[in-house]
Amino acid sequence: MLNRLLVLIIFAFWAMPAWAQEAAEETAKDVRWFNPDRLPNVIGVLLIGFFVFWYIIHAQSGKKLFIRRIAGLNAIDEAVGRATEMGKSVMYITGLADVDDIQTLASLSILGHVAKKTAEYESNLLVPCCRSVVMTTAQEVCKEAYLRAGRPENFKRENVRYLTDDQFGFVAGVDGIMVREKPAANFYMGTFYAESLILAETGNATGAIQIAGTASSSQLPFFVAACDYTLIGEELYAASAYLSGEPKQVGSLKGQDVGKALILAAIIISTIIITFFPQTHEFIKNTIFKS
Amino acid sequence: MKREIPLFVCVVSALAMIIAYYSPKLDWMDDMLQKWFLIIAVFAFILGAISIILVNGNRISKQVPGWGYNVVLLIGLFVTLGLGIFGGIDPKTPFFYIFTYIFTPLSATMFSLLAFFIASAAFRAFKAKTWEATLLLIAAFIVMLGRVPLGELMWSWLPVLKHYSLNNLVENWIMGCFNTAGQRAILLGASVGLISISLKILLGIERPYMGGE
Amino acid sequence: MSFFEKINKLDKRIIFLILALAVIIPLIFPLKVLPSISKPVRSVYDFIEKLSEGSNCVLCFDYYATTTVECEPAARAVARHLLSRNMKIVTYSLIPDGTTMSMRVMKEVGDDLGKTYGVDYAVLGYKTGTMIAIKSFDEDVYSTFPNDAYGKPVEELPIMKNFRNARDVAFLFTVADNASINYHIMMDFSEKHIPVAGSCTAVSAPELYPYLNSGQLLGLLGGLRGAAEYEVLINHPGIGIKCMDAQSIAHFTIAFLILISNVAYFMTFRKGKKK
Repeated sequence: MLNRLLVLIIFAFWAMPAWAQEAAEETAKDVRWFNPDRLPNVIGVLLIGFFVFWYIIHAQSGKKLFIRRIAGLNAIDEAVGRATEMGKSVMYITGLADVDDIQTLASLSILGHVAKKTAEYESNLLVPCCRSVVMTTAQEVCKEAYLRAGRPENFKRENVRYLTDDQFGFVAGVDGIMVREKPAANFYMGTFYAESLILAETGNATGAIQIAGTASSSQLPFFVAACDYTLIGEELYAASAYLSGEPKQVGSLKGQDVGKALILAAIIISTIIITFFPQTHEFIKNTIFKS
Repeated sequence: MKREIPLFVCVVSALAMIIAYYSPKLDWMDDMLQKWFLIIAVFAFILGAISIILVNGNRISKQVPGWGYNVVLLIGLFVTLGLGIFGGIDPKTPFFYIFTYIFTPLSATMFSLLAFFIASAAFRAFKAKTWEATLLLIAAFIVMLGRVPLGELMWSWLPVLKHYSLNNLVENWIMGCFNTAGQRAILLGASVGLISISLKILLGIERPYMGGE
Repeated sequence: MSFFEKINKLDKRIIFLILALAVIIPLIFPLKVLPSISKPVRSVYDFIEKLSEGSNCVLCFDYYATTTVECEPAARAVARHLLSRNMKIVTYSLIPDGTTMSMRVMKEVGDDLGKTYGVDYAVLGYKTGTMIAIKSFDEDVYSTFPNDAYGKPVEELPIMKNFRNARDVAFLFTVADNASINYHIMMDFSEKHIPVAGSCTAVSAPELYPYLNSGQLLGLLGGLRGAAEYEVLINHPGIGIKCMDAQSIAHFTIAFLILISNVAYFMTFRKGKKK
């Protein structure tokens, strides 16, 4: 594998200079190798990154790491099982954002697990998409999941379909599917905007069991009100680690927690400095955070 | 190679973007990749159009129940597309009229459903079952009534409370203090999660773009 | 079934009907109660008042046709204020619908104030890629938008002579129903130090308060209420103020519905306990 990667790297660097030269001439106005304004940023990312790496390595050594129970993720099996018993479909929405949004990528990871479950239980999975690139990725995710479950013949490509890029056009389409096909389980994972409540309330009216997850904080109250389970903020990002249980993935969660503890410490220290040592605060502001 | 190439593309482009972010001298890498993304994003629309035509065409050919709606959808797609391409999008063109007098009101109708759903969801779910829920309910009442002119007017009639600014209570305390604190907590937690998942994608530990395995 | 049990199981359609009446009646018989001015709205107004005449401003139309009713009044009010203060406005959009929306709003407001297209304002249209599009615009407007929304080369527009990149921008205002305000804060405020203010749907407003608090966002017009406040400030009543009465009654109706649902819940709960 390493040899192949090396060949690819050499090829890329052989093919790129023409573009690179042109682009460099066009845009290289600033000749500094490092932008000092971004020093606090790089320190923060490196620190969090270090702890994530550290715990990934730590977890690989075989030590068992504790991960708290997330009710919404435990309910996935129950939701798919219920849909199977009722002989109805499972619907999965990956949100409104494109594939360059991390929430969409987290959602696609969870889709892999849901698709594997539907493949095992032989229930129908519907994935209407709002972005065409997400649709093609979701098709690959589902196909792979059905393959891993040993039932590739049950995968229906047309069930992972593109509706429209338009926000409420998409909602109208999804609501139409909900009302016509009455899926027994609805999953809403990813980035959502004002359409969240319309989707969740329609799902609620059709009597489906609903599990939502988003880091869009303004939509969380709507999901909490209308869904049975809601993954709040970072729980969405933690889902793939939780569901797979892989040591590498769980280790990254632990690293993430240390990152949060660091931020918490920084907030407390900053509050003390700002409140009791205003001169020190001014000095820090004018030197490190001058940008 | 089916697995190595996407991983290679992901790792190289992510590293290039990260380096370019911190190094002004290497900013050209960022620009170059962003231009590539713009080009690819435009082509992705074609994928979507193909999916719509295939799925709806299939339903029409099989005459599944409700296939008439699929016909309407395809006619809408081709007519709007054709008018936009051949007639332009300037004011007074047919495309502009479709957009202003058909698309906008229909979309606004969908959005306005939100008000009704908020009312029904609040009626069903907003109960003071616990002490925390009661606090939330009181705050919601103050914000709901304080954010409308009639609420402010009625506040000014209240004997003692009228001496205290309702706007100040809503803006500075509930929204500016408690809401901001809660929002920041969610934002910070989600941001750390985002860094972690980005690193996992960068390292190839998590590969949702490759079928999630 | 007792009265409270009936309330608990109230048909959704009755709730919908009550709310529809609560919105329609005040539109027919307005109360004409004006809103007070909040600090985030006042900040935007004060900032524009202090800008020197002829400054280059960017107005982003980042909302879908769906939220036109809630977002457009703010766009109109701010565009009117900027043009009446003789600022130069260039508009662009990160979503496809924004092109048609900006064409319509700018033409109507511009014509009303006797402003000329290409001299006082220009509509550049839509560019895909969100953050990438913003970055590209900030670095080189001409290469990002070689032509305006009407297909004219931007080099031919007089307004664009002194409008080449982010350094020429004195103020950016974005009207958004999505995360565009966050993107503009990240790219325009943090990277290019352009003062950024925005307007959003009322639902999204709480999410943006941390940015207001930290000073990354200059000001905010939250939903229709924000637009109404701005209309009061510029002394040009529009759709924002007209809709305020309907919003007032709708808020009171929802509050009342929540109240009776809680009373019904506790009465049936107590009854159940007694049994």
